[in-house]
Amino acid sequence: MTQPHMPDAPPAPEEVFRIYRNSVFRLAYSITANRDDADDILQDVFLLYLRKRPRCKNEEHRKTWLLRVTLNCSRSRVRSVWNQTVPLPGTLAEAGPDLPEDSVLTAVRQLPPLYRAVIHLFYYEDRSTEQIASLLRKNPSTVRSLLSRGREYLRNCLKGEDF
Amino acid sequence: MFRDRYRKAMENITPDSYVVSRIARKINESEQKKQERNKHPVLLGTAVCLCLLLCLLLIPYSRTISRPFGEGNDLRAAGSYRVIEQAVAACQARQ
Repeated sequence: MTQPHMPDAPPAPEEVFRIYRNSVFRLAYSITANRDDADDILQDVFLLYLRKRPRCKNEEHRKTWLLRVTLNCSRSRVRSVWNQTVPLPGTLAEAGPDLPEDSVLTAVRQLPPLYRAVIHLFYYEDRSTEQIASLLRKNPSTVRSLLSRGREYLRNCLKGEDF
Repeated sequence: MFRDRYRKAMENITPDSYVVSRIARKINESEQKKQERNKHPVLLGTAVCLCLLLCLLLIPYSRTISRPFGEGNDLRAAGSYRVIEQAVAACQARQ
């Protein structure tokens, strides 16, 4: 993955949106496992960015800020009462267009949201367990155990996969 | 390897183009509003500077402005006094 270069002046919000929208959307999608929720979270995160205009030391700091806000928005979305409703039986619930599914993604989606967040940050964002712990405001050993249990589950689901 | 497969699967997941364009439009609108807000102090500052400059230019004429007929009256008074003085001097000469 190419890292965005760090100019002297802070990039315009349009540029920030262009660079980080996919990362924010993918993290939101990996936690909520729902496209519409991920779209809403993407909008919330960037509107918050516009309102707050955080002063970031560098691009890594900016990305960490965006990922942390995405995590918080996604977790509150998952916990909200709206998401605790029972889906409609039959075809109605599956009527909407969905994203292309992969056996790996299907297996990850079986995990609880917190495990999904850890797996995504570790395998997609290449974050260390210490960085993930800082993002999730958890102990690094807790993150390591979440990662280990998540891997164990995925190893059972995806037979013969190398971790 | 799991990492490669997961990454590859995730690369296919992108936000809806309609949502992207809507957010981009909102960002543009917000930026334009911010720029307009920033323009107003500049306009106000320019207006104040112009007023100050105008005041500085008008200071030399301030006496005329405050007493538009002052100097004329003074001249008229001075003229009358001179006439009286001349009359007094003529009377004294006759005596």
